[in-house]
Amino acid sequence: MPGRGDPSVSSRTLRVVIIAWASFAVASIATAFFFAAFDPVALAEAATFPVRLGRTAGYTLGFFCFWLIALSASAFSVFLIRSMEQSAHRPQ
Amino acid sequence: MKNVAKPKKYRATEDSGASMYVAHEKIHAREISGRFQTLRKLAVFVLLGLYYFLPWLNWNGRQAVLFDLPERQFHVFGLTFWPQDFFFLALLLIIAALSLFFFTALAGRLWCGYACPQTVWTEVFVWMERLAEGKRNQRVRLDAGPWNREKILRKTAKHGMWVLFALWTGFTFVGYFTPIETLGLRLLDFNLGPWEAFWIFFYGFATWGNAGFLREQVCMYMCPYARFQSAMFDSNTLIIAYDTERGEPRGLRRKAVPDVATREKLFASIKVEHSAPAEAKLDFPPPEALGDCVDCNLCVQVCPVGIDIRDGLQYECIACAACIDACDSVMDKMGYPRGLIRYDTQNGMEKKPSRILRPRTLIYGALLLALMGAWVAGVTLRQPVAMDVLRDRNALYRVVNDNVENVYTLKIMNKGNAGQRYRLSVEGIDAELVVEREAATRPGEVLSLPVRIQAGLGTVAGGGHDIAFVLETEDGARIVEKSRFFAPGEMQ
Repeated sequence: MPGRGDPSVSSRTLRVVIIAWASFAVASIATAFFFAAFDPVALAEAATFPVRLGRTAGYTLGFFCFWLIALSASAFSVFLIRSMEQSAHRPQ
Repeated sequence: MKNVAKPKKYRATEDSGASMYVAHEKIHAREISGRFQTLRKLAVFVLLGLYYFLPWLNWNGRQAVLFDLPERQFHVFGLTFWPQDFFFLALLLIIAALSLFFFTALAGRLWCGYACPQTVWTEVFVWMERLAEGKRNQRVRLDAGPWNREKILRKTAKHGMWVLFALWTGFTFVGYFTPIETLGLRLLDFNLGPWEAFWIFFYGFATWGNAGFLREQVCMYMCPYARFQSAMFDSNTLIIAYDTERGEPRGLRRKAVPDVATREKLFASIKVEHSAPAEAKLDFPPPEALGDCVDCNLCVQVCPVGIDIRDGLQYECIACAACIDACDSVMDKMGYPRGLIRYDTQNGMEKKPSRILRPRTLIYGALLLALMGAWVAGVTLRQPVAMDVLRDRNALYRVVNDNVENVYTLKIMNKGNAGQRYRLSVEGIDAELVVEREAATRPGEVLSLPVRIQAGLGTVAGGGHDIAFVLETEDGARIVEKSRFFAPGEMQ
């Protein structure tokens, strides 16, 4: 049932918060799965350029990379859906 | 149903386009005590007590619960989990999700009202707010008033408490991932690692923002559970509901007016005795003219998400039962029976029988039990050592000094808490196993051990043979891994 005072999804702040939060949640899960399989220290050793990286730094960096990727996808989806809806609403 | 005046939660203003921009107005929930609020406070103490205390608990000379990410091993009391045991963590998450389904089907949003970290931390932050800024009316007045000395002092006190508590929360959080005692010592030395400091502030900031400012907005706009929980509801699920039939039409009344049920009896008895209209004899409104809701609006004022439960079940409701306690206190004052707002099922509200045992709860329950059983069995039957056999990818075999030789790499994982030495042998073929190095591992180590199997040319038939590597630990564990041995033969 619709709640009173339902905000329109067009509120910009709300859009940004939802994009950031959804990608944060996905990035957390991705980080857990990824680093369960791969040790960041071993990954740094296998890099094609010299990297010096501790584990905690590796996890943190990995998490933010995942967040950035998810954030881009999330924002891109919202942009496409929004522009589609806007052009649909434009008077002919 | 009569339209009720309710506090305005949202202020809708025009955006640049045709869309609506909704500004949020802070909800000042009125404080209330009662049965369910006592239960919720108890839940806060137990859950937050566990959260803040657990990392300080030691077990066999080591932090009892430590998800040691730098060392890549999780300690949970006596158990140690390695990255290879990630399966158990995934299974645990599935179990957690399923118990959420199970309890939701049974009793609605128990999780939201009593156990969700968002609710629990918000409770503490609201408590601090009350401590610094006073009760609801005082808070509303303070927020509306000018920035005088008192307002500055009270706001500073509140934010001081919030920030300290949030930082302590962040510190505890990091203490689950890196040993908390040394972390505390390094904090006192101002010698934290950059990433540790970062995560303390990050988690502290999230706590401060979520519990101090966002509060019910997290439940309404961010929580996926709030959106899909209705899929687990049926008419036998416990919900918090207002008894419309008993309560309506709502209205103010003199204190002496008895409740609907009593008036129904009175009116019925008078109708039998006299033929005159009952209203003439009794100085009360007839039952159909006035329900039991006195329209005091207390249920709306105590609601932390700012809804009116009398409008029916709404997805914003986090089932905190504050409205039940508020209504019960009013019913007590009026001398009416409690439960005008109560935990009940939809069937119960419609005076139909409610069933706890039904296909939905049985299926969720059975699945939950099966998975929990599997998890416990899996963890207790876990072998302290695991082995994988990889055949050399370059050649099936090679011939060296009248011997035919196959090369393998053994991956031996020590999942126990002590160093191990192993005895290796091969079964299924009359051949010699040559181990290049000593087969020993430290706890948690994954050893890559190159080995060769040598057989005299002609002593084994040509083609492939099924063989098995046998690994024995000093404490008697025995692991057998199958592989293949190839020799030159008929094909040559």
